[in-house]
Amino acid sequence: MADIAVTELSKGLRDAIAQLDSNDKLESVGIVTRVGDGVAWVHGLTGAGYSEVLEIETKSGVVEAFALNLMEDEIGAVLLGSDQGVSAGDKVKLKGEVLSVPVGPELLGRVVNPLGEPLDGGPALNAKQRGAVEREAIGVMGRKHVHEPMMTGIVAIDAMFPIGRGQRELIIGDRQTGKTAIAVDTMINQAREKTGVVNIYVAIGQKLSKIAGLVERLKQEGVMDQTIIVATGPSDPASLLYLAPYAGTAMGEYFRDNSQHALMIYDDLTKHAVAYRQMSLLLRRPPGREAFPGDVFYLHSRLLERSSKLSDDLGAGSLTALPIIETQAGDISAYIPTNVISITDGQIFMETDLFNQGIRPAISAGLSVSRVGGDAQTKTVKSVSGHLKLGLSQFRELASFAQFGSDLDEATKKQIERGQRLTELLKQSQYQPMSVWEQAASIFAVSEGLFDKVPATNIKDAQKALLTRLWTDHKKDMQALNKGAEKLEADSDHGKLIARVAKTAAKGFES
Amino acid sequence: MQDKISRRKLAHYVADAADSKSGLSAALRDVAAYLIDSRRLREVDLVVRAIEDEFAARGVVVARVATARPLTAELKAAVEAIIGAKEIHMLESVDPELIGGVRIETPGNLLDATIKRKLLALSQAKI
Repeated sequence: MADIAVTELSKGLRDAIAQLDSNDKLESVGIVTRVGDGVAWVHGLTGAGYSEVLEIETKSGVVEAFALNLMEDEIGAVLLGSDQGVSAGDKVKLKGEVLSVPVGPELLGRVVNPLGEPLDGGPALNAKQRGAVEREAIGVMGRKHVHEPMMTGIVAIDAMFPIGRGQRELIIGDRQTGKTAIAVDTMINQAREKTGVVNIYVAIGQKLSKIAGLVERLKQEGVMDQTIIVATGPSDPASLLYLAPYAGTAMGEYFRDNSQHALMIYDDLTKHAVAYRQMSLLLRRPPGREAFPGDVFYLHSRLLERSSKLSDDLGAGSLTALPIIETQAGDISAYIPTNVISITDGQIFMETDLFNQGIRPAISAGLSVSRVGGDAQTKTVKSVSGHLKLGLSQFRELASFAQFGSDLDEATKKQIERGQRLTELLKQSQYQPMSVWEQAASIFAVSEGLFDKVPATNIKDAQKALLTRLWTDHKKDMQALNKGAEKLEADSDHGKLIARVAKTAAKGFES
Repeated sequence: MQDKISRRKLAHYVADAADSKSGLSAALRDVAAYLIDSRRLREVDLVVRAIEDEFAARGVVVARVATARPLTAELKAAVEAIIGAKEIHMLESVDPELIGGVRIETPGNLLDATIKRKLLALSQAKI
């Protein structure tokens, strides 16, 4: 056993006693009148503020709660822990502060709960700063338009629905359509491309086994060092699920405010709304549509409004958000999906049909949109992807129409074939994000017709051959292209180079 | 259905009556009748608390003072100074389990400066 300095021990004990010594003033105190389902009703404490932390003194220690219903006769407070030890008659004190969590670089690589307590069995956090969980969003003058790219590494997204730093892009779709996969790939891409973007993954009521698997994967990919995971499981109280995204955002805001860039992933806001509905109903707030409370829109709008691109005066940091919403049978007109669609700057819609057809990522070209990311798209990718979205949407329409007969004119046939090649090209395996040059060269090869003789089934192989040849023989050119600053056109030097290599690469795969 | 009258309003009514000529007992009878009529008898304790709160806000404080040994006149004056109200009704009690110090409970406020609480807090603190 290590030697313990007795003098230090006694000093520590004395300090602890001194801290416990209360000042001789009357303290405001309330009393628990009833408790149940994670909600405690408190008599007294007329000076309590909204969202203020209350300390309930139970027989087994102090349980924290926060005041959400301030009524004439009593306060409705939501417990932040188990309600097992809390009983009627317990004394309640005001903590004199609103909820806050530790923030700062100390959290990188850690898995924490929404109160900032480590869940990974690691050492205590010792963060120097704390951030308020509920914080007002930055005002108009503190913002700048979104203009820097946040590359996801997924061709379909970066080419057709580009996301910028500071944007809020919703990922929406049914269960098992690859929503989380997109978010995870984006996180991995930040590490691969060394963008320096900090990832904050907020798991709201996710299965703990899924979170454990994710952490393991992120460690394997070397992403965990620049990632914070705020985890809540299905067995956590609704109050923690409700707090998780706000706490995660507070952690992200630290990086934003210090001229860095952070990426928030809220997985998923449907469960968040459900947790809030539970709390609201238990607090006896009147239910509205689908039994959600009246302020369920504000619940998400105030959260997502905190994502922003800051002005140069404030350090030009950014906080990008990728909220996830799970739909039921593709119904995007349900209450929560429509709310979040209207709040965000665009959505990536995942379709079950596409997923089952083997088109993965199963992104619907027709229903997805990015409202502000156009300005942020890398010049190189933008120069090759101009007509991609329209072409793909038209192809999907034509393809369904073409099923009825084989008598098609040449132009339509060609369009369908090009569409099939594009569809093949946009397929991408999980955990394999692509760099700017890879994306640009691939799209360029197909849209310029360089792979027109390659059957759709061989497109992926031809693409692989092209990229390998380009990287081994023309590494410097590709590194230059990867900066994303130049346009890739048929008559530019790089365009000619890629065309030449693509023609030779295609030869081995032509039918 | 008629809206239920809040406990705070009931307390207000009782405190107003105590100040006026009609007297406290009549007001209490009214409140009791109302609670029975509106089937809110379960709230009696809370109503009493609300009334005490209301009186305290008007300067009449019912203070429960617990000590390990009986209070001397000097200590009593010190306790009254801490409470600092216009009119103090002190309910004293002696509890040797407190070991030392004093515990003052007024409506909505508490000062627990007993040795027992300090020991309890120390045992719960993570040192």
